[in-house]
Amino acid sequence: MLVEDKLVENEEAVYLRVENLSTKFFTSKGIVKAIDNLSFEIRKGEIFGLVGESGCGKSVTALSVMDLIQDPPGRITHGKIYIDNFNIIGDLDRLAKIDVRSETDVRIKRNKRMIKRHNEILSKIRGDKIAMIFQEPFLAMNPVMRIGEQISESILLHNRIDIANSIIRRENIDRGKSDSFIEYLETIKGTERALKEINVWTREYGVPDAELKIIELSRSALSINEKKEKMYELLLAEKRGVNLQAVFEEREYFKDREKLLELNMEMTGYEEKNDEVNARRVGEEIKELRRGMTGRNISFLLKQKLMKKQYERPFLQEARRRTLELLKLVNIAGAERVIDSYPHEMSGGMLQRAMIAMALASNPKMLIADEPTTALDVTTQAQILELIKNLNTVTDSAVLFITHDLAVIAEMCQRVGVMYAGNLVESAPVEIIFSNMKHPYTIGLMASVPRADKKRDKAMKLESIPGAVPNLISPPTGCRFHPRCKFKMDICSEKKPKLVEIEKDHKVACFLYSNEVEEN
Amino acid sequence: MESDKNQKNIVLFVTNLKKYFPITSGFRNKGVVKAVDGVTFWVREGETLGIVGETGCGKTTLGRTILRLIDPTDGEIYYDVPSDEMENIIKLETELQEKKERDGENKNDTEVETLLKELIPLRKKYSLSNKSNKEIIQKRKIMQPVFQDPFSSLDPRKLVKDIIAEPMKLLTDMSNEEIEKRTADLLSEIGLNEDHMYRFPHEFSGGQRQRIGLARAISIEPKLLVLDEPTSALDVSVQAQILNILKDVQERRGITYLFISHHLSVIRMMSDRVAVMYLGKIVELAETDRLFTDMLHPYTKALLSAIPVPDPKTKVQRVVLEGEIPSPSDPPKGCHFHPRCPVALPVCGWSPRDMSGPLQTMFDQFRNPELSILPEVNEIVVDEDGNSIEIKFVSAVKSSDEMVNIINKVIEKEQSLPNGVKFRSIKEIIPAPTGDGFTIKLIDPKVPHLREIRPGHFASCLLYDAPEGNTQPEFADVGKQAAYSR
Repeated sequence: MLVEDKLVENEEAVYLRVENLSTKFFTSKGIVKAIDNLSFEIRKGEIFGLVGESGCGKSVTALSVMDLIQDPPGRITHGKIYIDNFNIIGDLDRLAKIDVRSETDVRIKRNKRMIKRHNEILSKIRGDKIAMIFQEPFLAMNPVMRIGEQISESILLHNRIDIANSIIRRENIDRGKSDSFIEYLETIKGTERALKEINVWTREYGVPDAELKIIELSRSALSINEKKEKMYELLLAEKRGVNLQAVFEEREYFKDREKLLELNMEMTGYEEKNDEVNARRVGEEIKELRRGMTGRNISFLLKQKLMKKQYERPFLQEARRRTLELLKLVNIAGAERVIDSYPHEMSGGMLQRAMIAMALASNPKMLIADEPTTALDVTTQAQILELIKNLNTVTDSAVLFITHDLAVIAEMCQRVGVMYAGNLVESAPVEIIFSNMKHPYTIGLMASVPRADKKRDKAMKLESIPGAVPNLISPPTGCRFHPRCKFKMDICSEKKPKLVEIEKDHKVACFLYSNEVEEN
Repeated sequence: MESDKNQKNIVLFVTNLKKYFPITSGFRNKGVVKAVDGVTFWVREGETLGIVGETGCGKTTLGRTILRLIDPTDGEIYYDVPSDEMENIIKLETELQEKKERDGENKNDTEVETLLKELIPLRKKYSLSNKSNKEIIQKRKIMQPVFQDPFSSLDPRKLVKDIIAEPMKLLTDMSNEEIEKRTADLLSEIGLNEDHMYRFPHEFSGGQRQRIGLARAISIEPKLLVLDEPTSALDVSVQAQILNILKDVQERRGITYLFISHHLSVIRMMSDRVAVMYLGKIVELAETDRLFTDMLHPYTKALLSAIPVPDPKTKVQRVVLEGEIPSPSDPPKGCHFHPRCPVALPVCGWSPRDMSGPLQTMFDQFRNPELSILPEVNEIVVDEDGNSIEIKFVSAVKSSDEMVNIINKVIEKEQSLPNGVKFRSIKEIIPAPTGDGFTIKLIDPKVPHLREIRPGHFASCLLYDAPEGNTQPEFADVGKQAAYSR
């Protein structure tokens, strides 16, 4: 159950909303202000690009959105991140108190109990609602686990109840269900819809391997009674003789845990709003659930340990089947072979596909792709970009696409945010960013890209931005871009410009276009 | 060859260069990786030759072999040869290679022998591949590398001034004061200042380090710079700075560049001519604008169409290649690119191992119900040397000759399907004497060679090879066919 928030109530289309996010790293050399007051939002089903040079905070943004910043040294110090209207970073003041005595002397007092609960909730949100594709597929994969195992792991973590349900349905198929389905198929025989229905039905009942045979059967010239007989035989062959009691127990156990998480999420929501009464009520509910769970769980966990075969095997089988389906979804050639191979046996492009399959394991509504093609060759890059684009239309999940390559942005995204030194300096729909960019940094960045589609001129020089990205321990005052800016004014080094909407959907943070100053 | 007399002298001529790395496990030799496999090209004075290709195509090995940082397995590198001698050498070497391509490697050929008699003294005198290490060091005065990774190519324990001075100390007899003064000049030339002389590399950003690497390379006034991905570790805004400096330096000093990069946009901006490499071979070489707008080789077409364009209004018609780059230790027969090529011909090099998979699918009785009278396939045996495939069934086949006709019909059907060109490489089907299978013979593949198809435009593709054929497809169809086969 998700907590409603007034802010986002009327904007249903927004899936991710980042508000005034600040992330800092407390190092022995000083505080790195990696992200400073960043706000943006991503709508459902949209591909939002985040572009900038290295060290401008793109990857830190991605990690912050997943709340994966490594602590120590890093912490999100300010702001809110709403995913599907739920603030995933929780109440920062309650999680830890940060006492800044000087740049190099920072004491952080962490509330361990709160952080533990927070992490439990997050482990549910990561993967379920938002998943990540990393830059270096070779580094992101576990080298000693087979590809299939790694993907199954994610499936087993997030979809236990769903798997249990489909196993139970499969084992409980009886004559009545199979007959009625055949009768139904007979009425829509030979249509496109029949194929679709078979697809849905076989998945619902956990017998997708029989899909082809059922299609063949429905097309055959047998009489309806013969078909019923054959169908029932087919389905009997699919049954695995699973110990259903074990599956039931396992389902109950995971349902309990799900319930507990939901209650925890509810409580965090109330606590954030300082609603003591409701928080206490939910707290009582949690206690009661825990008390009930203890007895059931001990007996279940013991049995699961002792009778691993009976308890775990049906789940592993089903997870493997789903893994295979995912690998096929991302167009891996020879999925049956790949599922049992180790990461080092595969090429970068294949591995990146496997990683995308892993991210899709529990059907998240949003993907974060952090430089997914930077380590790949152009022809492989073209394949992966095509794949991400297709998945975006098929699964209708939003994508936060992070890259330093403006050309990739032009290809992929609907809206773009340009980052510089931890700030969002401009954001607009992709056509506007490329035709009517406003911020001097965006203009400079565009001019410094060599073009493969423009005729070559031997004497031509690229326009470049002088200097380099600043050190974020002591970033420039005011607008962080002013030391490299061609249009520098006096105010630029004193005040920080606010990100202002200068035309519909086009926001710029620059004093050339607006006098508004960002408040601290 | 090129007859234009106004063109500048050729300073570097590389012919039939090969670099094979042995794969060993213990004492056993398990074959070789053909990193560079017969590369021929030349570079004129003051021009930039771009070498572009994907990971593992051998472009870096090529650069290092030319510098003799690694020793070539075979082939000649002529550099710094008097121009009239160079012309003679190019003529002879080209003639020799053309003969070899035409007649195969026949050692007893008298024509080849006479050519070699003339060539061998020239090779001994000029070719870098026969020079001893001492002689090579002398040549390094006029050829220098700039490396990819600015973080690992500078000694972390040396001051910047010592890093830049090292080649001058080793290779020239300049006095210390001269060296110091020149170091300061170089620093200002590449956009740093004198204060930076007494710092260590770790105090610099990636862009600044790459400038230091460049200053070190040009300190002894080389004539040729081998730039191996000089900007791929840098950000776009810094990359632009470095590329501009490279252009300035070339303009001022007239240095010849061998510019190696996987980044096609950078290549287009920097190079006068471009060579495209695939699996150790140059597949196409042409003037930059010609190559980017009017390319001949299907691989170039696919590679160039894969470049994303930084303009949301442009929609590129993309040729998406299937599969991955094959391993260079065991490259495909014939043209290395044929398994991924959207316009491959039957003679492009379809070998038994390419065909075993498709044949297995063909004998699948769900795909081709006509073949359901045949027993189940038991085994498919690949005979690479005999260029044939044996198909064995679980039991004997009745009336084999009749079956051959049926199989031929199915093959005809497969040929007409998208990607069916590989089935056109089947020469004949012979029933096995044991009666439980067939032997499928394939036509002999042809190997394409890099040849001049238009003035100054070289490509290595059989599409442009067939003199008798009107069979070659119109090149505009490449995109269409690729979309079709996807």
